[in-house]
Amino acid sequence: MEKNELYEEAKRLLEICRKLGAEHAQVMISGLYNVGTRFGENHITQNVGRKRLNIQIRTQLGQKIGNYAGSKLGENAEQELQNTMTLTKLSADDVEFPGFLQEQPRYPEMTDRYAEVEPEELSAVIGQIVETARGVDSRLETVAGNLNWMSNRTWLLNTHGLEAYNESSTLSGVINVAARENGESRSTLNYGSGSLATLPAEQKAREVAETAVRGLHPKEIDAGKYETILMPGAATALMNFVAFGSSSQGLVNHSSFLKDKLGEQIMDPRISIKDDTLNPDHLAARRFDSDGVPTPEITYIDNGVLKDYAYNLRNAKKLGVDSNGRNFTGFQGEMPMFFSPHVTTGSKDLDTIISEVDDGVVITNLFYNNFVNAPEGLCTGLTRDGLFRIEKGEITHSLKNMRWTDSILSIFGSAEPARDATQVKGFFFGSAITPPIRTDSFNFSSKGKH
Amino acid sequence: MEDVANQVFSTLGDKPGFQLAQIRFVAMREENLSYRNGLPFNCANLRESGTGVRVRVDNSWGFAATDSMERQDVIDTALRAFKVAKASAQVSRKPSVELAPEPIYKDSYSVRIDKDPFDIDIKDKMELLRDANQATRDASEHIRMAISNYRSRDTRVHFFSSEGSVIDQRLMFTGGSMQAVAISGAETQTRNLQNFKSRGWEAWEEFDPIATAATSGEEATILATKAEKCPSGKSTFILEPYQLGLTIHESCGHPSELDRVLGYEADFAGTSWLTPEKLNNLQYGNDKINITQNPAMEDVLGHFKYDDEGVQARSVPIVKNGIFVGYQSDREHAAMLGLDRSSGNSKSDGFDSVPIIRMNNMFLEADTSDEGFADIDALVEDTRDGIYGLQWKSHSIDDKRLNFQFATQIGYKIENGEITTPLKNVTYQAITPEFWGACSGLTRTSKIYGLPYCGKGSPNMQIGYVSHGGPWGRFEDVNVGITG
Ligand SMILES: [Zn+2]
Repeated sequence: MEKNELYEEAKRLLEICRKLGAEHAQVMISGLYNVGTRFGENHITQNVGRKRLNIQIRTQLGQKIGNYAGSKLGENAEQELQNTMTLTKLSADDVEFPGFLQEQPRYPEMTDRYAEVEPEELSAVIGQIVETARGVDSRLETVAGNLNWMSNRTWLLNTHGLEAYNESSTLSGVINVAARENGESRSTLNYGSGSLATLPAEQKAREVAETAVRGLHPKEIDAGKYETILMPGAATALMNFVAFGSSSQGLVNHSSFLKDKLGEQIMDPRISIKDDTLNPDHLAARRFDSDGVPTPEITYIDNGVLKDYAYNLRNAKKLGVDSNGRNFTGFQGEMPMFFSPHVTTGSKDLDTIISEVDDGVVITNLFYNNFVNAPEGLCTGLTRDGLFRIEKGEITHSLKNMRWTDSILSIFGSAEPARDATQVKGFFFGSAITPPIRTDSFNFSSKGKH
Repeated sequence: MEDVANQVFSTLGDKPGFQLAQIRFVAMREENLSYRNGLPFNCANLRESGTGVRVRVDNSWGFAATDSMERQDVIDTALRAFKVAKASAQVSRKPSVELAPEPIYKDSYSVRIDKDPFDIDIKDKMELLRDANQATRDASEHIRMAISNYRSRDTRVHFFSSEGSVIDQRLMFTGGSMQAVAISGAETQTRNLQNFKSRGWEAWEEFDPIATAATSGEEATILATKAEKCPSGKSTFILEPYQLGLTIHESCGHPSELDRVLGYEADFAGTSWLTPEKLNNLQYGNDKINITQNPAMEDVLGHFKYDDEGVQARSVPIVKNGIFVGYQSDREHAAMLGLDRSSGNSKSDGFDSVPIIRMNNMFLEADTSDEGFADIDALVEDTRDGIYGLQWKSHSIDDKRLNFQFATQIGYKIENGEITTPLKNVTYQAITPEFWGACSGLTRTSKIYGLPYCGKGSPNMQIGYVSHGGPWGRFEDVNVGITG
């Protein structure tokens, strides 16, 4: 659906809610068009084109609330929304409901990006990636990955007159390459861009292929603490835990390891992280959240000091502060979070940082990371796709994967970011921008088998 | 619908390279109700309906979806799926592969629903949730957060294949979770009891929400006030069916999915250590270990009669007497490995998702031999020293599924054949074949649980609904109490 049609549909749905007895209502409607392709063993395995609407409606009757979520409503909208109204009427008072925004906020400026692509164009890029990666070295046998074009046009309207609109399209994907010589070495890298013309597919294919070859013939190391350089993929994986910890949801349900730490020095003074939601390079760039609250740039870790949590209207009301516009609403509920982290860069380039490490490791990616115990920030996971040894300032050889178990605040407690940042897709539904980060100590708790 | 499907088949049938089309008309509704600390919280109803068309052209797949079931929209979507398949063929598999054959079915099926949950008054549902929530909060003054959740999903799938199958299925699941967070001093601890079944309202009644909610509150309080830290080192370790099921899910379920074995999940979930040359050759565990996948089993979450490419569900052994003997597959991947039939594991999570190989119901068989223990009490009585771990708190496993580390919500010390001190932050870590090779006892009793959260697929991840379980099991020399 086009922008105007979506607007008219949102208006129509609000009117139906009113007609069915809602005191107030809010509609978020997104027209989603997605073309995504996936490949493995050097060929395309899946290819998908989807067109649909995502609709979220909230109806209010005093302090009673009902929610609807789903696809296109069409002619049966009245019948479906009647169910939501029944849910609203028969519910009990939710005294923590903050109400809908009653005034039209001024949203910050942001450059919208929207460009359509065809499935044939994506397939052509895949063909280039497979050819380029395999061409790097004769030991490169198979290439896998995906490339996803996702676009959406979103309106948020409520019966107080709030109107907010956002449109965007993004291209992003993954390349995974396997090199084989008396064993297998795989490596994975993200790539993404606003358009096909600027997509760095071949450059990334070469880069990931070179890492896979370097990963051949790994040696073993023992479990223990190592000075470690976290490449952007690995650093981003750890930022996930910081995102959970800095969500006000974790304050409300007592699961956050950053609870009661506002204003404290929680990380190395060299670490600053901002949520730059307005940067159009981010996959989750936006100018308002699912409450309609503007989303300004926020530095939430400033020289290692925790400066802010991510709020939505609901948690802000409960905790007695103003929302800073970080809400995301899905069918399973609301989750405010800093979705677009950007780690401030340091002064030394990566080579200099490596040259200063006497005995340590480089981690390309981390995999299957999870809290072991969320309230204390203890986490675990494994290395993947390239673990390398540094000896006397030089990368000497690759290593078999290791399991890590460590506290997030201890990892970043003594840490130094490098000079050049890259964007890493896969930060929830968005992306992170981060340089490699060196930490004094990273704990490997057991050996992997490959 | 059949008329629209036939028009699609005749429209596509004349196009060069066309081989197969599968159409799914899907109508899904869901109700998700919660109470949090005495207040209704995020109560929602969900409706998703639309059409997914999968087309095979020149031995390549294309898929397209629309949130409409109207004739012209479906035909346009099918033509888009054809165009997408043609695009896939630009970078196609060489040599190409035929799909594993499957009979044609004309059938209609519904899971067993004694009481339709959508016919139960919302007021009654909300009052029951409110009372359950109160039961958690009444457990002790240490309860700081109580979340009580009820969920039911009802899905109608009409499947049409250009090969001739016409299958109509009504699938449903119902269940919920009772979560409690208790705080005492600096200690914050959580207990979360949940279960889901492919049944109607009766599954929720059987879950016994109020009693379950009270238990979650009581055990969270024990964790926060009385439980000791899990000791570190090697230990005999006993798991109950829920957490044993999670261990199966991660260490046997995912690595036996044939798509990841053959390298087609490398961009996201990883690959697998269960490579094809190990089939029928590998000692996966000791001879007590028998793991079976069977989505045809009635009532369990993930149950269906036909998968999303029209393959009839059936029981397939994955591990037999400790030997690795089977994969989970779909028609294409089965053919790639030269298997004569798909195991019937092709599933999508909605009308707009492409079917992929999914785990559904996988469990460890109980030990019905003389060696099997009568129940958990008998197993504990036979154990000198050890730790008993219950239910999922955290999980992690590598991309080939060999090194896993889990945390359980609560644990207990076993001393001289008796359960003694409660333990908090219980963790265990092992290497898959070493763990299953060190099984020293299983019960004759067993239980299966439903878990509605398994992520797989890329670039758009799908959520799967799975069930797992089996007997209570004992394992020797397991690393426990992993620290940072
Ligand atoms: Zn899973």
